[in-house]
Amino acid sequence: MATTTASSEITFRVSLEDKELIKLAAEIANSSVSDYIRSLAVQRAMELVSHLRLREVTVIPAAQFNALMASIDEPDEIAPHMRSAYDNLWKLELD
Amino acid sequence: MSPSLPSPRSVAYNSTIHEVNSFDCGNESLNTWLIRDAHHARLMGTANTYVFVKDSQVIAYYSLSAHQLQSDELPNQLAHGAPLAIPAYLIGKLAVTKEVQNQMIGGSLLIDALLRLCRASEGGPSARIITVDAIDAAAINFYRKNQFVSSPADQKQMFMKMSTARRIVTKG
Repeated sequence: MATTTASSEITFRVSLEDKELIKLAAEIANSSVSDYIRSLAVQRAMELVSHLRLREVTVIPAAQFNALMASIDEPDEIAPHMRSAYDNLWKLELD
Repeated sequence: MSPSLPSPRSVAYNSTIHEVNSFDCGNESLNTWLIRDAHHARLMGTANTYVFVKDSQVIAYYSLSAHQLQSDELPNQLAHGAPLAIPAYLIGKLAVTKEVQNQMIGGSLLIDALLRLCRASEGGPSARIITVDAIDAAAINFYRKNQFVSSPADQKQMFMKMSTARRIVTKG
């Protein structure tokens, strides 16, 4: 994790039991309480954000890319069951 | 220009009004995406999620994102001016709850997604390709049956041309 200056403050309340538990865990981890909480919170936040950041680019072989580009405006033949799925969409009983 | 295509049947997922905690499609990661992540993805602007709702329960969903399809090689000089990459849409997730599986809802859900993308692209610049990441063999079969084609490099990466999608939803 990149080292940054911890100059902003976050204040939050916890129960006495949780506070004692966190202090004990920080001691075991040989860390201050604030360092312990900060490192855990940042780690979880990074995990969540990277999980939600979906892959934005798909890279494919040039031959397939070029073939796709050559026929990009030519639609494929539509299979009959696609018509059924389309028709079924309007028959679904939804709210 | 107002869209000439009909409105999709799905609605935008709203975590304050849609009940999803009991959603179970049989795949834990797809369940978790809807129950835990879809709301955050919308806030982050990475994906929008749309749902089919029946009897106040979400029975199916999909998520859509802006995407890009890229060639793995630079075009040669003869192909000067050819694009290296084209704008695409990504159907990132698509799932149907167990209770209503095998009722053709998955296929119609996919049509709903195509319809939504085609409406979004009417009257302006738009993506040229729709991509999906099929999560397993069953998903590959599902998308293949529904006219997506696999990349030779990775059969889980699958594509449909927007022109094909437009033909499907206009019954052209």
